[in-house]
Amino acid sequence: MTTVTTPTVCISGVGLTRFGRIEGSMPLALMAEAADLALADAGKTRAEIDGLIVGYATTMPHLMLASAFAEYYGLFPAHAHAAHAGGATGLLMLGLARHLIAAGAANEVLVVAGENRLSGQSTDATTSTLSQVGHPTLELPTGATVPAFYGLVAARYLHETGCDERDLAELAVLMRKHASLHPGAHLRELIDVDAVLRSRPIATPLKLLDCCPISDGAAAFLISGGQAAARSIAITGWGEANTHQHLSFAPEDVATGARLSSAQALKRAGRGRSEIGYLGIYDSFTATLALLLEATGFAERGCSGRDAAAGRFGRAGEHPLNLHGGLLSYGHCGVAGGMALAAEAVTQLRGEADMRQANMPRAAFIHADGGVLSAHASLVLEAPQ
Amino acid sequence: MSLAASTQGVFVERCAQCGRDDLLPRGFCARCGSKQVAVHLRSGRGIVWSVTTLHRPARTSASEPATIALVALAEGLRVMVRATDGLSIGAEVEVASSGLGEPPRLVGAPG
Repeated sequence: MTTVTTPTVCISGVGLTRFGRIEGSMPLALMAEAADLALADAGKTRAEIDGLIVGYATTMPHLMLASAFAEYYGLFPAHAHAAHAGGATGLLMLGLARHLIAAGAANEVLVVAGENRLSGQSTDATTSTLSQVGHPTLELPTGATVPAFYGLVAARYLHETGCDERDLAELAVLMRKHASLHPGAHLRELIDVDAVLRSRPIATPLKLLDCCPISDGAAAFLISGGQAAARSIAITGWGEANTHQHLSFAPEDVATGARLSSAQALKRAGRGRSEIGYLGIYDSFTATLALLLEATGFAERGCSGRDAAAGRFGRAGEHPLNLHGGLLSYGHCGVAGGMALAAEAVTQLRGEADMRQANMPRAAFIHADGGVLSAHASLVLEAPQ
Repeated sequence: MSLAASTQGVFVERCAQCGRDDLLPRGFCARCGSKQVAVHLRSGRGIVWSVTTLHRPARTSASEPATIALVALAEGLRVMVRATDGLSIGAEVEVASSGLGEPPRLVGAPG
């Protein structure tokens, strides 16, 4: 019996810089560093790249960032554009690269993002820029910033689930434990629940260690069609959803977008959750991670913290999660923060994660959100059969 | 359209076709697309959906924390307002705005 199958599109190369303070770094140079790593990893040359998608950089606002990077790096792609969807951008770009190739519109697509978000501007400037996700007349006049929106989301989560701040703290502890094994992570010093609870309040119930740091860094992927090479990882499922921009307009179940997006991705991949051996879930804040784990169906409602404490998301657990340390501890430099989730998934699926290696996962599920759980993108990645 | 700050109620744009209320002046209904929308003053009674105390609020020269609440109005609209400390999720409150699209504020004591 013959079956019509969608073409297999693969991630053939990955590049991930260390995240942290990279003094003197600039967005284009950071992107170039990640692109070099991805090209070398794939064994490809600049001349072979016919598609380019670049994520926005808040330290380099630009009408045509993809063209600027192509010129800087030495690419002449047929297709080039810059993508803007908040934290969902990284996974969204991977999905778009896949579609370009599946449609026959490109053969080799470079996806890249990088930002000197830590050393390039003050914390206040970053906070102010990111506050664009708040409504100018209905929300920002209260003085709210992104942490406030997530504080509201977190407080509601605790109220609805009966969880407490210790449950959220377990997630921060786990991410730091994972990051301690990654030489490229921004924050590697082990912490415990009490350290999280003692850290200074940001937007109740969120404290400093419930929040991801601001980092410099970059990531790049080469997405390829045609014959899969030995270390290629297939993109077998994708999903997206967009429910709102501003928290005031979110659905009653604020993580509705994650439910929709994850269901699509798993359905397209033809995989059940029990077949997923590795998770990359966006963890801008501990509360984000809890909500997304539960909305994507990898934890029961209100059980994320408890499950983390019980080892379910550890290297040897049922669903190893963010083994590079997530945004919370590997770091968050903007769009590449979400891409790092996918980079670790690829490394894990290839069996190349050294001391962080989980027990040979065959399929990974990755999810990221942008705004205040506003835009969502999910992917399923699989190792060659 | 603007009224004095002491007016009680929230100004919304109401759709004559599907009945949806929205806080934003769009000139059309975001649910059904109808352009038959008009300004209405509706009750500002609602329930606190969530509340947080932000330790470094924007737009202020003061260094004190700001308490911010998201209030669900009786008919499912959400309004973000500054609040005093001690407000709980589930508390019954009242908000008001001075005109369509103007930032609303908390006016009633918690119920």
